[in-house]
Amino acid sequence: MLLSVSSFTSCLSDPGCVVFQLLGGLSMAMVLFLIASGLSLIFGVLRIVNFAHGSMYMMGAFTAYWLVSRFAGTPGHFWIALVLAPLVVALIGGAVEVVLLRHIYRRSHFHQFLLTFGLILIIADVMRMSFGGEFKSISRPDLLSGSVSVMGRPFPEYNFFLIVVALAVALGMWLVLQRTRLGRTIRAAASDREMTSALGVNVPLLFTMVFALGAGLGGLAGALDAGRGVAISPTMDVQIILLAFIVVVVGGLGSFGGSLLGALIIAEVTTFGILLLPQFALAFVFVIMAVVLLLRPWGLLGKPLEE
Amino acid sequence: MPLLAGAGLLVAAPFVLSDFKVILLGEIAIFALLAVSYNLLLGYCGLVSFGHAALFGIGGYTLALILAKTGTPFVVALVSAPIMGAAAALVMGFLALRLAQIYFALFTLAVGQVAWSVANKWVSFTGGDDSLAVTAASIPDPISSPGSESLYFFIVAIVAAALLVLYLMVNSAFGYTLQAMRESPTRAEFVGIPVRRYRLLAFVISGLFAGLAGGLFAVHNHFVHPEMLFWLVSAQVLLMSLLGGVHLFWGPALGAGLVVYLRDSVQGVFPELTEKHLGQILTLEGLTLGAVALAVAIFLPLGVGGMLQRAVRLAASRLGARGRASGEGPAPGPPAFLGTAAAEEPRGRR
Amino acid sequence: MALKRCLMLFLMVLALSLGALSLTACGGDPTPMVIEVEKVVERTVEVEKEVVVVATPTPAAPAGPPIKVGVLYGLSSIAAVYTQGAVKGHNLAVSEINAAGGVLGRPMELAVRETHLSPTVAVRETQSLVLEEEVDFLMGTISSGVAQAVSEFAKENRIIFIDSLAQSSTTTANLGHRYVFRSATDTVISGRAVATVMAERPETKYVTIGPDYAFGHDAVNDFMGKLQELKPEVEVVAELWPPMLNPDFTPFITAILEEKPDAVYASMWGGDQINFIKQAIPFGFFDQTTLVAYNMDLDILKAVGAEMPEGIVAGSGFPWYSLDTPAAQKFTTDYFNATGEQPMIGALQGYTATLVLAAAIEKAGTTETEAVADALEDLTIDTPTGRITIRAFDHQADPMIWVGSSVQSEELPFPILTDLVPVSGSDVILSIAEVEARRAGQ
Repeated sequence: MLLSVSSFTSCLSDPGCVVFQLLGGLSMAMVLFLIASGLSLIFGVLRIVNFAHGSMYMMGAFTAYWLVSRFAGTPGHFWIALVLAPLVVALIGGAVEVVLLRHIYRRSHFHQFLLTFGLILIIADVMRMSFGGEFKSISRPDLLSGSVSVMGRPFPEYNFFLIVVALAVALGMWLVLQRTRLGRTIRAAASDREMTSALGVNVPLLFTMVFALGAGLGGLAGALDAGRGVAISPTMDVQIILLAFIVVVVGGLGSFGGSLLGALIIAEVTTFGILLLPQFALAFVFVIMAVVLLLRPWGLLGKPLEE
Repeated sequence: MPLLAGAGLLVAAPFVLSDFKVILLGEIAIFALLAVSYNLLLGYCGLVSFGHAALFGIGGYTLALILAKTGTPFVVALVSAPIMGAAAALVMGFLALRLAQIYFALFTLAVGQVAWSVANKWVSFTGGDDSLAVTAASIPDPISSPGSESLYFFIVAIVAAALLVLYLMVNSAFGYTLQAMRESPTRAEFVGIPVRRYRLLAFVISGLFAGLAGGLFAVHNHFVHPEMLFWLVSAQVLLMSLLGGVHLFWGPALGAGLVVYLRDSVQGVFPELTEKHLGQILTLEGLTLGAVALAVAIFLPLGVGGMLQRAVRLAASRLGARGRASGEGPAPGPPAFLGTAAAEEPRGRR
Repeated sequence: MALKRCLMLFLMVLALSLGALSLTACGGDPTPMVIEVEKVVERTVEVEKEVVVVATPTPAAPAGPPIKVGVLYGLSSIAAVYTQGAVKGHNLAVSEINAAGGVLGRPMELAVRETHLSPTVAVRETQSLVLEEEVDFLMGTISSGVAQAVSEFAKENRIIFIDSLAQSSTTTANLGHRYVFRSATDTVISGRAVATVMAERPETKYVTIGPDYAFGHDAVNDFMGKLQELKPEVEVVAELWPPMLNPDFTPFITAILEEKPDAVYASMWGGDQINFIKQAIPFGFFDQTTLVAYNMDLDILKAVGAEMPEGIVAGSGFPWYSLDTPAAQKFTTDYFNATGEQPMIGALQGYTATLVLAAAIEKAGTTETEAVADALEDLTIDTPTGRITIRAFDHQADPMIWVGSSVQSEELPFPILTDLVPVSGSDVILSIAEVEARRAGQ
């Protein structure tokens, strides 16, 4: 193979190049973080591994596309879509919880896997029926269509925006979890479910809210990614869900900080892996996942589960 | 009695049905074996694995590679498939069985996906996405033609023998120990059962038969492709098992038959409808299988097999009430490992 | 209790589907496609009239048992954009053929099946078509893995298979056999056509990027092999192989930019190509280097839309928006009238494959496999993009490819390729010696 490893490795001795690559990795990390934190939150409270979480991301992107086309003439249509799409997905998520998931919490985890697997299949077909198989895409808002210079290299404004939004969501979530009553309830439910219901918390409502919130985070990631130029199609779900799993496993299922750490590790490893050993870059992430599972099955920042 | 009738039907099938239906039956037989082998982990150990597709694929690739790259006789290749499946299961199980429930599922998912990417990327060895052909010339003559009765009988005979071995195994002390461990691993450990070693043995046996199913699938299709190892195949086997009923030995085989049949049926039904109403040709296979998955998860925790079993028992008890006592005694409740809601519902209705 | 749940589940699925349908009804594609195509249609009305006159003598309606043809495509997921059109192209050809009296006086009939892009499903469906539907011929396939699986089936079962869409050159070159034919371009023709144009340009320092499977590798190697032959000073400083269906190209884009290449050759298709272009724009990618794309047809042009950077060099098998030959305009008009859509490349390829098969059966005078296979060898027919010949040696056809560069269109609501250079397939097709060498290497 004609691999010129040398010229890529020279990047490591050039601070400009390193910073630029780190930033590129950071924007990938932030999307992964948004998806993974929803997945992790749902697992932490509901103890369900939501295989259909990638479908929430996909629905976020499709909803954003649909809203952008609906409000095509209106100024600020991108912003309307960006705000509304996660809300729509959160509503759908809440409905899914009430209509379907609620009946299976006390079933074995195989039934839970099966149900979310069924949802993947159904949602993909519904999207296909509604929007067709053609690739859709939306344009960046004019406000963010340019680029800024980072160490002499142009870097997209939109990616900065994405990083800022995701960090703001992370901070907001952290504040909610740490400082509010709802947050305390969620954390209590995550560590001891029986105790929470004994304390008089409305557990069913809590579960619906948490699932809706998790789905909304996935939807937000989808809408943000659509704006970044990711082609919208009914196969987006399967593409993203495995990466999201890797992130939560590395970071720790049920750990909010773990999602952030896991996303950063996976995104930066992928970015620098492509620079150094492009042929194997994407196998690295699976190896990292397997190693973490072997040495610390509950993830870097997670807590061991009781059987 | 029903067993004999079933055997009679299977023997008569190729003489009655069209060639294509015979091919479908062969596929059902192979997936039945795959699903029953999967259920050794799922139903008997309470473990969800997403790496089963990898074991299936490794069996298939073993046979295909041996036939394509060496002059080894067919029989050797066919025997190697389950052996490699078991060997791969030994490695995967050894690492995965240290992990609890969900981490076990995710770890098998990761390892399975690594195996899938090897099959996909190591093009010079596996052929990658171009698949690896199992040529008709490399298969002994009577079974080299798909759709032929001899190939069908060959597959059904091997699957039947394998199922018989599995059946005897789960109804031996080994099988009962597995079930005891499933109900309470700690208690089993306490009374001196080496839980991990037993589970590893179950995993290896499961891999052995998954590998055999993979080898048969390669013979049946005349090629292998990396998609055999993809995690969605494991998810489909999970669907087959739960649809048929994981607490029954025959349940997953029934589920395999239903899924393969259903998939073939929707291919014919929806394309015309969707072309007319949506302007696109869609099979809506996902919608159909997805709806089945939801229905099983919510309404049929014991699967179709469990429902049939209850119906049979109900009929038997009615008959018994008229004087002919059934020797079986009261029907045991559904196993607790299927979750509390699953266990409560049927009881509540009695 | 159970009943209530059942009802709720049912309502849920119903609501989802209804919601979905209403989305299609009121949302859908906002592009005023119909109006814009009418312009093109108007331009061609006169031509169409002439053609209609030629075809006036009313032929006898076809009679007798239909000639059944099985058609296999991945109709959903990533391939839908090519294959949904392809099926419509097949249908258009069949309705034209049957209106003109059928083939050998018999009607032609299609049986379309979904492969889900899976070789296993494809082979099962092929068996169903051959054994249950009793089709006489096979057409279709997208994704080289599926094409090879169906081709292998055709070889073992001695049934003719015309590969209408899948492009990997391996199918006809390395693994060709008596019963497999390809009426579309392969990666060699498409790749080399672009290479001949790039050889005239100054760029010498290349990075290549392509999806990591058979097609992606073939497309890169077939392009670069020709380019380096024509222009030995061309060097490849890095090769990148992202997985197919890759949502995030940022790390690849930043890695490429660090190399500062003169040009980047990309063999991604569909969603991957769209992702790459759209994500690369704000990095100033297109100010720093030239993108050379394997091909760029309507699927990419429309989806990237107004953001499409100018000056991307790419091939196209059917740039109908710029073709003024009567045949191309007639096909575009007929297809639009029949379907209400603009023809994507798949539509032309499905149409062409059907014409090829019908012509071969007419030439053979029978539907008997061996005779039709003989007739297909060296068959020459006129297609909407010109005359093609199925070469007897390797059964590969030689359609035209146009190479142009992207520009925003003033007439149409999407960008187009301009300054088109036509490259005749017969000038760049693998030579017989090359095919022999490939087969010997197998």
